[in-house]
Amino acid sequence: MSRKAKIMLVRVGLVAGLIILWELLTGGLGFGKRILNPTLAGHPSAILPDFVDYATSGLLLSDTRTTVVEAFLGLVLGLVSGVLVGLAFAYWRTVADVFDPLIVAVNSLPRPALAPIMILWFGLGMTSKIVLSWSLVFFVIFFNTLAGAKAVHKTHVRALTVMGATRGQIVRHVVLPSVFSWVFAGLRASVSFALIGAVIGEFVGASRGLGYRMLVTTGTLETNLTYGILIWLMFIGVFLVAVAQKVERALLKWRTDVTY
Amino acid sequence: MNSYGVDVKSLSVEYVRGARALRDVTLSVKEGEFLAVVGPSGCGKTTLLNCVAGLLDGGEAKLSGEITIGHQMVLCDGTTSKAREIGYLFDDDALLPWYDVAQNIALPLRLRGASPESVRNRVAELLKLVQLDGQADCYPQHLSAGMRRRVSLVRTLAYQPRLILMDEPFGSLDVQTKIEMETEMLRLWRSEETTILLVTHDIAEAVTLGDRILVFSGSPGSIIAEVQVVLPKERDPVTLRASAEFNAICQRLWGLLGNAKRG
Repeated sequence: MSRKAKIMLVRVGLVAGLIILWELLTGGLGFGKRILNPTLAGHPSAILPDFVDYATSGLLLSDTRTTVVEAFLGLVLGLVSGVLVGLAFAYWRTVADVFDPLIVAVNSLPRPALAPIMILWFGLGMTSKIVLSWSLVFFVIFFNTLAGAKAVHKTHVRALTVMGATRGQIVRHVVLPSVFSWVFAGLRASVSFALIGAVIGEFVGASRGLGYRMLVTTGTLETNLTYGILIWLMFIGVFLVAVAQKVERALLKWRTDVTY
Repeated sequence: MNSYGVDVKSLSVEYVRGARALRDVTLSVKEGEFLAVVGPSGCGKTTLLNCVAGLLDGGEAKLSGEITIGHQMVLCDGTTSKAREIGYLFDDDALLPWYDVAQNIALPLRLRGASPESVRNRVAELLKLVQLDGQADCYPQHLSAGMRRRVSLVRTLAYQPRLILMDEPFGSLDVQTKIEMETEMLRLWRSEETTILLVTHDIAEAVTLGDRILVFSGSPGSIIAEVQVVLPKERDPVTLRASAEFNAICQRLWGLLGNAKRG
C-alpha cells in the first residue's frame, strides 16, 4: 500500500472511530448507557436526518444564500476598498503619516466587539453583516496592498523610466502587478475572514442565515441540527477557500515559487 | 550616424545624505564608440550612469555640470530631462517577473505604442538573435542567470537605442557565462553600431569590450587616467585572454588602479 493510501486510511479510520465513540457515549448502537447527555451532545446518527428535514423545508437554501451573499459582498467591498485605500497610503505620504497609527489601532480592535454596534446602526438585515465582513477583509487587503506597493523593485521603475515609460505606464506594468500579487496572496485569508464576519454578525442579531439558525437551534435544544449546520459551514468554508486558491493560482501562475 | 555621442562637462554630484559621489568629471564618448570606465567599487561609476540616464533627481543629490547626449543637453545645474533613445543594462537583470520572456522583450516596444504585429515580429527576431526562441513563454525566474542576461540585453536592443549604458552587466555571472555574454555583446555591438558606455570593476571585461578605458579613483570619483585599447575591433574574448597585448593592457590598468587606491 502506498504511503498516501495509508495516510488516507488512518485519517478515515480516526474520524469514523471518533464518530462511533461519540454515538456509543450518548447511548447509541445498543450500548444503552448514556455517559454524555444526548440533549447537549446530540446523536451523530440523528444529524443527517435532522439536516435533511431542514434542507427539505427550504430553510437551508435561504439561510445559506443569506450567509454566503453577506460574506461575498463583504469580501468584494473589502477587496476594492482595501486596494484603493492601500494605494492612497502608498502614494500620499501625508495621508499615511496621519492615519497610520489610527489604522493600526482600529485593526487591533477585536472585530466581533463591533457586531452589536453594527446591528444598532445598520439593523438586523444583511447590511450589518456585510459591514462586519468588510471590516475584517479590508485590513487584510489594505496591509497586503501597502506591502505590495512597498515591495516594488526600484530597478524595475528605473528600467521603465529609461525606456521612456510615463508615470501611468509604470503604475500599470510595475506597481499594480506587484500590488496584485500581494493582494491575491491574501485572498484565501480574506475569504475565511468574510465568512467569520457574516456568521458573527448573525449571532448577534439577525432573522436569517446559518449563524442565526445555529443560535435558534441551540436555544430550542435541537442540538443535532446545530452540529449539522456546523459541518455544512465547514464544507462551505472549504469550498470557498478552494475556489480562492484556484483563482490565486491562475492569476499568479508566474509565481511558482509560492508553495502552500 | 545612427548613434549618440556623450559629452560630460565638469560633472559633480553630492548626495543629500552621504558623501560626494563625483568630483569634476569631464569625459566624452564618440558616436559608435565603446567606452569602458573602471574603478574600485564605491567610486561613483553607477552615479555617473544614472546622471547620463537622467535617473537622479534633485531631491536625491546635488548635481552640477553639463551632460550633452546627441545634441541635446540633458543636465544643467541639477535639472534633468529624460531621453528616450537610451538603453540601460543594470547590474541586476531588471526583468519583470510577472511577464514571460516575450512580454518582457515586447515591453519597451509596447510602451512606444508599436502595433502588435510589428512587436511580435521584432520579438521573434530578437529571440532568434540570442537563441532563446524556445523560451519565449518561460517566466524569468525559470531561466538560468545567463539566459536572463540575454533576455535583458535584447530587451534593451529592442528599441534600437542610440546609446547604451551598462552597469556591471555581467558581474554576477560565472566566468564561463561571462565570456559567452561578452562574445555575444561584441557581436551585437558590431551589428547595431550604437554607442556604449560601460562601467565595471572587472579590468579584463573592460579590456575585452572597450575601445578606450577611463580609470576612476576612489570616492569622490574622478578620472585619473585614460588608456587606449589597441586591439582589433573584431575580437574573440576567449583567445584574447591568452594574448600578450591583452595582458599588457590589463597589467597597466592594475598598476593605475593600485596607485589610485594608495593616492
